Amino acid sequence: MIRQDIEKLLKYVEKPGRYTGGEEGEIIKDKSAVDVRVAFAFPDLYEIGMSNLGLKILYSCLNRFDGVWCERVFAPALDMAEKMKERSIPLWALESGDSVRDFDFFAVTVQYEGLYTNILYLLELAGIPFYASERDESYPIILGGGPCTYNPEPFCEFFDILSIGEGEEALPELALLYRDSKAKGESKKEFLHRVATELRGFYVPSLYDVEYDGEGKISSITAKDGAPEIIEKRFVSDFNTAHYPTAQVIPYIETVHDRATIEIFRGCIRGCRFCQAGMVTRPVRERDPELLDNMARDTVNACGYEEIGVSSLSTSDYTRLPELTDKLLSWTQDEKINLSLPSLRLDSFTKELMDKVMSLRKSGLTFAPEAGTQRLRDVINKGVTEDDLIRAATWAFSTGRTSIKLYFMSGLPTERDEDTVGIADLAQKVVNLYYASPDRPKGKSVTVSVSVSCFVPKPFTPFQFEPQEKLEELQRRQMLLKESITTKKVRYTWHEARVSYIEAVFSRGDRRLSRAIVEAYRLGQVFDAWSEHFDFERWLTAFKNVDIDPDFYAYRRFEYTDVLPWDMIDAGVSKEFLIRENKKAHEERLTPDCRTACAGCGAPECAIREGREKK
Amino acid sequence: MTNPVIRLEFKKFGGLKYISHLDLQRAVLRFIKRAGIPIRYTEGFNPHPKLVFALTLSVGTESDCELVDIYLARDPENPETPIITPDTFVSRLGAVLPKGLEIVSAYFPETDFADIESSDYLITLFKSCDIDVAKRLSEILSEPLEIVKKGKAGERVVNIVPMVFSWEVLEENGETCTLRATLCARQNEYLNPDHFVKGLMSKCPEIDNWLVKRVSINFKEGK
Repeated sequence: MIRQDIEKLLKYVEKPGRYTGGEEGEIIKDKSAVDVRVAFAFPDLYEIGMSNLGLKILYSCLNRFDGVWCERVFAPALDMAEKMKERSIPLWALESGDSVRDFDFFAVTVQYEGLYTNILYLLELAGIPFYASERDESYPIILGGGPCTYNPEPFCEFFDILSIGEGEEALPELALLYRDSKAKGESKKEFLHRVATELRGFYVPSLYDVEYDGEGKISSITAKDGAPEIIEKRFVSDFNTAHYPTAQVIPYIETVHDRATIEIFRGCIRGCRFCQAGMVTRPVRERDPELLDNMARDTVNACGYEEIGVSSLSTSDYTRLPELTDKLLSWTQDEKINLSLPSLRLDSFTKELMDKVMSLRKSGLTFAPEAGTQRLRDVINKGVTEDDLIRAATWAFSTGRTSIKLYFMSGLPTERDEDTVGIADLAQKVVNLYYASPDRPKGKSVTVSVSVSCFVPKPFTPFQFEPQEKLEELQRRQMLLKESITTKKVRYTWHEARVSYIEAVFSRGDRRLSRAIVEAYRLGQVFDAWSEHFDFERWLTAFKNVDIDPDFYAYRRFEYTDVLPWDMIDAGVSKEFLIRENKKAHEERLTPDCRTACAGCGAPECAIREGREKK
Repeated sequence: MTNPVIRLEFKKFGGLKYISHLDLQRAVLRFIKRAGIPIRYTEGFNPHPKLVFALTLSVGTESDCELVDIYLARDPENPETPIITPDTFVSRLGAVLPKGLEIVSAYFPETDFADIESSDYLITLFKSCDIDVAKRLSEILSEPLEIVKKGKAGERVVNIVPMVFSWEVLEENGETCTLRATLCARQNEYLNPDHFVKGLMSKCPEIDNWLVKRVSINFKEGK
């Protein structure tokens, strides 16, 4: 519903369709008939947030309950925020048009480090104080979730509750407990205590004391008032029965991913040592192909999508992929629905598979060797070989493709100059292969795109102990690679190392960093994830103003025995496993994938380890 | 072989008036697909559904009369016979359209969008102070009124007065002035109603806001 005062602003802002709500599929309830109202925010622009599958799932999960009404909130663009401030219009939820300030819960999903200042942006626009300690009973409960909550410490003081892990089951439990608590007339403090002690998978930061030693390292984390010492992340045991909404809100303005997303499995069997998602989403849980096919069909019918995107961390590791693609292709081709299968691994690349899945559109191919030499690929446990890449490229050129995109990472632990130069060599080999292919398209040139990001150590990975490479050194390596590329057939792009540095600070940061976020925001920093808004100098000023040394977080090697800021969280994989893997990395030793041999990561309820996986 | 085409006339209002023309095209296509109406795809490398809109509509503009030609899939057995009747089309599409998109009618078209001559708009001008807008408009439009048009080939200055075919003030009070205007909508001489209003505002700064609604699309005489 568009409120009149908001509608008046719409002529003056870009893309007003971001702010109207009223899309087909939105859920409207009778305010007087619900007792728990949740404003669910994705702290980035509408068109980014509306592409997020997690938001669609949780929106539907909560709205399945009659007494609960979950509405959507996105970050207004700066032009809109300015108008809102001018006219004193506080942040509202799209469905009802009601002010977020008046909800029972204000939930914010934190998807990437670049959104930390946007948490404050939303709170300020909503008229809500930043720190939980500054908010009385009259404010909504501020709930956080999303992938960044595996180390929520840098922003935990802004939240009353953080949901750790998957939310499908946890969030409805929280809403129902709230309803009970509200009916009993309990205070916010009493409710938070009940959340910490009666539910699983919720972290109430105010119930934990953190102490530091003389060097500034954490000396202890203490749970208070009966709160659990370790919070186990939540996950859905049976992925086949996990809720999936086929009826979704249909955005009218173009979003980033305008398609039906079908999640085929969660978890990852690979164990790349830098990859947080591959660790924290364990155990591996697959959905049956029949179910997925039905999900895809129902979603397309309900929403009118023209594209189906298959989603997982590694599509080709889905055990029944041929069966699934056969089912999907049996109807999508006739109905002119495009099927996209991202995240294919080089070593799983077979001509049969590719001929099948890539037949519809000759889209470009993207692969991620991640490192330029076999030695370094072994260090990170990537497992793929140069032969795998050559085989994939050979196929691509034989089908008439003339471009391939390759992803790499720079600044990986133990990286040497020969690894950096190795990236250029590998790209050159692919170029040479093109010109050696007898069946390449005649008269056309080839483009090999090389995109290089910077390694950021992430919590709950074997590389969580590793320091980030120094900024100047990362920049030197970027230039070294640039100079090593001698052909114009290779197009080289690299990520801004200074962004990665800030990410590294927060990735392994502790709760003292909340002050730096507040200070950066106060200095005008917002929408960090958008390169045009990221201001490195401003961040450095913010750290200086609050007397925090960012190098301490980014460049320090964490010892195996250190108390880590996120030690109160159990993400499923054991610290012993991560230490074991870290040691193996330095010995340049591979760990086979989970189906070849269990590496004993400690993930609970693992079907592979327990021999329950369907073949 | 003729292409079976159904022309849909629809209204666009409410929250949906805030989406762009491109987004509107996408939304209409999506609802046609949801309605299970078999549409025709272009031949070629990247087949895409064939939908042709009569005129573009700016973000924020309402309409009572948008026109879109929908090319229907051919029945291989009876390629000349439309696969669906306008009545079935209306009942199927009507069942899935959201609030803000409303069917006026659907029919087999006998005119060509290339023969569109003009379009009528209801324009409400909001005044910051009590002036006689009707009088001012007569003055402004009695001499050339130039606006800067941004196009693919860069900026150019255009006199829009010849493209204002007629206008008439329907109602004026201390705060608003409502007029009906017929603006040129020929293929290469389309006058966007927002540009028309902005042109007026450049000469009459007392107008500080406006609303536009398209009320008719007019074809050339005899077409």
